Amino acid sequence: MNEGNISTPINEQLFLKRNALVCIVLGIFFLTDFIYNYFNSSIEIEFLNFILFIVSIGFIVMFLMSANKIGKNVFLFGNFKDEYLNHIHNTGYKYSFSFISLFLVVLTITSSLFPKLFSTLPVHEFSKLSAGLMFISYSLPILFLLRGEDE
Amino acid sequence: MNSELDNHLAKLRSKQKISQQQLAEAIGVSRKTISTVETGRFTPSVVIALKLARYFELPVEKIFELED
Repeated sequence: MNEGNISTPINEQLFLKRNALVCIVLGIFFLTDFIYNYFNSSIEIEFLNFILFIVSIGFIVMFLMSANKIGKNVFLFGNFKDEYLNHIHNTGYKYSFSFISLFLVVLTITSSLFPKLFSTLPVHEFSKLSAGLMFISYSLPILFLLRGEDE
Repeated sequence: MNSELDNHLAKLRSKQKISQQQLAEAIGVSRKTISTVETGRFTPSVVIALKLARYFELPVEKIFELED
């Protein structure tokens, strides 16, 4: 992260893309871990989680490298100078907020109607599920809106 | 897509024979911004509209116009 004001649209776009990639890998990591632990799945996903862990470290390194080329304001507060990237970033937040809100409301109603269904859901597993859904619902719209373009 | 706002950005750009990337660099935005404005998927701010107008040396209403 640079102290100076050197954010160019290209650097910002790269940063946003890598940020979304980190989020999607972390989201998949949390969700697969939740499914494995909560449902005592017989599917061998420890290897998959190991791969996801390695991939996420790679993405985090790339993310930090691109973070070095953008301004502090972008890194800390997500205030992109480029209007469209700012719009995409806010869209990601909007989808994430809406999806998680809906998920929590549905879960609240379902758990009050069927208390036994979620009585064995530990807090840390619930946190993994929420975090996974949140990361994925944030990053998918961003990656979709940043997809290839033609002139 | 914004159905109320029409723009002549692609036409003006091809008339001057410049790419989206060149235009984006000239006014300090990303190429994505230019391409989404051209296709009407994104409505730019007044600042970008004025920068485009200054670049093409035209009034803003010659680049953007409201559809009837």
